[in-house]
Amino acid sequence: MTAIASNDTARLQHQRGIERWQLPLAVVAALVVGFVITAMVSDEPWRAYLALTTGALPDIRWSDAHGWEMRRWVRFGSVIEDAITLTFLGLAVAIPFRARQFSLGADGQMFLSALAAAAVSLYVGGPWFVVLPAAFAAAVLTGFAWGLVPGVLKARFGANEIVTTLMLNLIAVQFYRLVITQVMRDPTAGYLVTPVLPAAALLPGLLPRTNVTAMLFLVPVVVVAAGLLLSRTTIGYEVRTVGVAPAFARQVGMPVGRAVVMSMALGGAFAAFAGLHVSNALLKRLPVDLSPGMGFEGLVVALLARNDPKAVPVAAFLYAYLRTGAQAMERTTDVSREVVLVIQAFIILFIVSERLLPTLVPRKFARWLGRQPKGDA
Amino acid sequence: MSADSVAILTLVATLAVAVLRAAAPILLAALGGLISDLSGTINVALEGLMLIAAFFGVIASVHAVQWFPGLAQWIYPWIGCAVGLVAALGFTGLLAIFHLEFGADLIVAGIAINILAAGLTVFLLVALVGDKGSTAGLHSPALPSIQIPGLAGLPVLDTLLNGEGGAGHHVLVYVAFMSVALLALFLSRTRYGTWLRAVGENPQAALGAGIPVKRVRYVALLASGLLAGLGGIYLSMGYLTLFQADMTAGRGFLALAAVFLGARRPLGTLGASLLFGATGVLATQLGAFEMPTQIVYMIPPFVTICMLVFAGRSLAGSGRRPSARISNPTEPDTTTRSSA
Amino acid sequence: MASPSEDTIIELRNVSKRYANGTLANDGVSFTIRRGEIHAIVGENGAGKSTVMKMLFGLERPSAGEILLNGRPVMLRSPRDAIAAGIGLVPQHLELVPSFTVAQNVVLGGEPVRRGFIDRQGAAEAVRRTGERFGLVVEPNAIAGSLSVGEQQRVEILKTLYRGAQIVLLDEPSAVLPPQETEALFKALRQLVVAGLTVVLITHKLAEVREVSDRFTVMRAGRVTGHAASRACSPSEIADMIVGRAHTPLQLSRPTLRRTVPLLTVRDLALARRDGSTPLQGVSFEIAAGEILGIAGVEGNGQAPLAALLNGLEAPTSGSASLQGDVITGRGVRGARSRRVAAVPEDRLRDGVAASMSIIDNFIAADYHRAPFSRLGWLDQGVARSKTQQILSEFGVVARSPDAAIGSLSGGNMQKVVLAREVCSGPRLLVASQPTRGVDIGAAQALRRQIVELADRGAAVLLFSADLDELLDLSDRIAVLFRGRIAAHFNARQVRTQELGLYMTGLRHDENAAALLGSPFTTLAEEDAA
Repeated sequence: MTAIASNDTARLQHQRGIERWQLPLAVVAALVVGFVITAMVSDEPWRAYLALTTGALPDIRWSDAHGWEMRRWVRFGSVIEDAITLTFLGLAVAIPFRARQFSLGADGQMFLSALAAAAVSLYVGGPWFVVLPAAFAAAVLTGFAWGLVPGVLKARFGANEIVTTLMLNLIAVQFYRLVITQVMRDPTAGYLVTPVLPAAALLPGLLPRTNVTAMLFLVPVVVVAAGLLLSRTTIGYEVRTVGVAPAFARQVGMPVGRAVVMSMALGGAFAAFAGLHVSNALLKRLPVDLSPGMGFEGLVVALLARNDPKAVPVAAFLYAYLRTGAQAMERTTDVSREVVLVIQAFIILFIVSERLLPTLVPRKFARWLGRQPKGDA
Repeated sequence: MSADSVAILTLVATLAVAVLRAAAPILLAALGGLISDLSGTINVALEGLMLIAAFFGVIASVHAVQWFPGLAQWIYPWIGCAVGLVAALGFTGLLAIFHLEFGADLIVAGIAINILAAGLTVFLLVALVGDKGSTAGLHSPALPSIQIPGLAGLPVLDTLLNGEGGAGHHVLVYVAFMSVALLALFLSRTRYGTWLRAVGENPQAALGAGIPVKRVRYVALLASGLLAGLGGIYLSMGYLTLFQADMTAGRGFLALAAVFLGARRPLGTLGASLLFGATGVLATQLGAFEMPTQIVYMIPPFVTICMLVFAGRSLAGSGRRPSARISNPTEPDTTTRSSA
Repeated sequence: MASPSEDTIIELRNVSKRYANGTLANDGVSFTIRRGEIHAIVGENGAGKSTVMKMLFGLERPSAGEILLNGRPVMLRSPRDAIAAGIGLVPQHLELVPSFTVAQNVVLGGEPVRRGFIDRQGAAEAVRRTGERFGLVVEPNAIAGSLSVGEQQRVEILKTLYRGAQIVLLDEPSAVLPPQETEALFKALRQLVVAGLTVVLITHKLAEVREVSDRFTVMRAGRVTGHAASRACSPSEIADMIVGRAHTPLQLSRPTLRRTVPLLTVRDLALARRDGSTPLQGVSFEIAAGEILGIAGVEGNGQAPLAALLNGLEAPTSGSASLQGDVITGRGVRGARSRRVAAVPEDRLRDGVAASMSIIDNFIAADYHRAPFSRLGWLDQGVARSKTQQILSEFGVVARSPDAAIGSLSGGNMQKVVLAREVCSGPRLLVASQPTRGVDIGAAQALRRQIVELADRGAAVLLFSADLDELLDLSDRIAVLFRGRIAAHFNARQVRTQELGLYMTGLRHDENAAALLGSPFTTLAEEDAA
């Protein structure tokens, strides 16, 4: 048996040597694949890729007439807005993932929390220090509750959480549309939408002509909270342990079922921040045709971040940056922005292919890579 | 028969026809989902594969005229169909290779393929057609419909079998419903179908019996891609005759739900697909009765969830899980206890 | 060594098998199997018998030596080769598809086909005929999942016969069977032989060796240590070959007094499973404070269920266990732990540790939800770290840092952390299952010392161990578990491994054995003879 342990060490070293490089290698490889595809249909692939990778940046230049100028902040602002929403959605998927639950319910949780936030903002009067906290509370409670449902279904009845969360998404979106159409509709607007939220409920803006708001300051708080949740609380500890060693968790008496339920419910709570962001910061009123699908982008972000809360905002920013860059690329070249989806898909495929790198990278080289003089063994 | 009852029955027949047509693409994809799930490697990329086939089918059927000039007109749609299916198979192959050879998680890889399909189809749409929304300008053909002659005297039956207007049901609608029977037959009566079920239910037993487990999984995935592809082709060359970005609108996921709602059986999947198809049709009809369409749309997902709950309760004792692939740390871990 | 003759159907010549991770499972194994006999390969767990079987069925290949079939060397590269060569395997863990019928299972992989479709009729007929030919009564259209374990096993045998096996290998066939069904199995095996087949049986149940086999080969630690004709040997000779070894004492002296006040009381503890099996059938014993009760037994006779019941992982069907009147069974793991029960599980990597998590995370796993490790749901990292560092030095664990993944430690160091975690919670009862399995000698000694010290501090210890030396050194009393019951009760100072072997393998059984504090000890064999 001891011989087995030493073989495991060798394998662990081989794996660790590669793991460090997995994300960068995956990104590079995916960019290459994207480039090949672009080159096949475009006459100017290099220019397109340049636009893709730099298009989202604000334009800083010097001119004799005006001195330093910063242009295109609005475009960069949309990167920040997207990144904020995606950070919250990424956390909404990453937390359940840590307990090995494939929760795809971020969409529905976001829709319902946005609805709750808008409802409270519209119907609860008062100054901002009454309305805003109320809206936050409503959103988080709604998201938590909607995340609780598939968790309980899974823990009590063994119901496959992928299917239940997908179904609950459908129900949530329909409910959202129902309420907006029948209850919260603004009769003066020309289309199906809620009234504009009162100023007291809106988050103060940070960048002019963008929707970047004080929500930006909330991002590090929430991310740190998520990280602390996982690493410093008993719930987080249970979630992590159940995710990597369920038999061990059961042996020492951890409440496995409760950990599963909580991981999904907490995920919903994080999605609620995205919902509030959409309703009180980005859109300032909720249209009936708000398109679902952002939850899946949260999934991509979580995968890119390997479910580590600290990496989620980075991955979210990367995702948003590439997406906006793709929009710029589309405007200035003949390449459409969807190529970014192709790149993302390949990044995901390359990251989760456990055996791809080990088969390509020879053992010795990987062990050399793995022998880093750091504290962790 | 009185004129009134004829009218009512004709109306019902018209509704039924609409339901059949709405259900057909879901059914095809769901059968693909079923066959992959039964083999233990569930294909969650059905949505993306449908898009791929829909897109390439349209493009190929239009360009086929340039590639093979001078053929009879009716052949070109079929060439498009073939190319669309080949494309779907190609992407399914990608999924299969990444999962079976490189160890990628099946669900995650499936989601990646969905994203890939969504991006690639629009990307190529713009590059090849120049329009971001659809291929409406191409005037792509449709696959033929099959008309059953000689029913002029029986209006109800005529409507049922030939649709209003008497043009007949699309060939793929026939294919979809026949596939149910074929698949059922395949699974229970043929060697390979039995091997497939064995691989999904007890891969160890299959391995010990000399069944090539990996090969069976490949075949199951490819077959599911083929069926999903057919569903997609129907959408762009039958239901509509163009490709639109995101034209599948979640049908691929409904197909997955249909598999579970149908208790992972061909006949059940048929019923579930009809239910999902009916929902869209009924929603507009019931709109006339003051029932908000949203509530109607909520019913099938709700029913699916209930089904999963009841299925979970009855399966908990036997240890069989709704889908073998998905991990489940809260399951009563009776199989891993090393008992005397 | 019996010389190969015309009669020899299988011969292993100096076969060795070294696995990729370095373990030497078989070391120069040589023996022969005669045509038409029932041959048993006997030995304890880890003796190497499963490896021999795997090589005979093409699941593994020998690193050295050769396998001869009918006098000719063969290379069995896969089960397909073995099946083609006429060898069939009935695995220990049955490989049937539960929703298929018996006939479908038997013909799986080789279904008869008529005009493209499976010939169900023909399959059922063929299965029925094969069954009749070999005297195995089966209903071809019964659903496999609904059959009893014994019936399922016979279906597995049928599978090999359907594929034309001339040699049938059975891997621990009676391990999964209740006693009544074992008889039916033996009857079936005898019928196979009458029909001209050869049967090779792996078993560690001695009684069966004498009952059903013609000849047997004994293995220990990867080597053949003996062989004989089954009925020509006395039971103790056989037991000797399996179990006997030189006893190296542990240098731990323990007082040999007999205590009278129980700390742990177990009465009629029984467990029945949904499939009808009864892994535990009314076990009663007591352990006093400061006492170590060792449980000897071949794996699979009730040890794991007993440990699970005491730990709270499973609830008993009847009976109970209590610590000074406080019932500990049937209350879940947390319920048992809150009553100061600790357990070292048998499968270290699966149940004992979370391999990819840090040493600290593993150490706090038992008590993290209480002060001082956490307050109101918030973990106190400082306390966790300092306590972990404390035990790392106290228990002599060699690790780079407490943050290192526990999976990077050696087996011995891992187990030290596991034991430390359990011991530090101040238990009244420690249930230790195979605490030194897979652990190097130095660490094993340290672990044993810790267990003894825990007992000296007044705890009761229940020790399950396959290492009889360890059992004899550490325990005050020893009970033998056989088929879910206590088969013998000994004073650890007075019994020898040979004696234990007789009871462990079922050759002897003390009907009145109970391991209560006041129970008499089972009379020793020598006293019998005298």
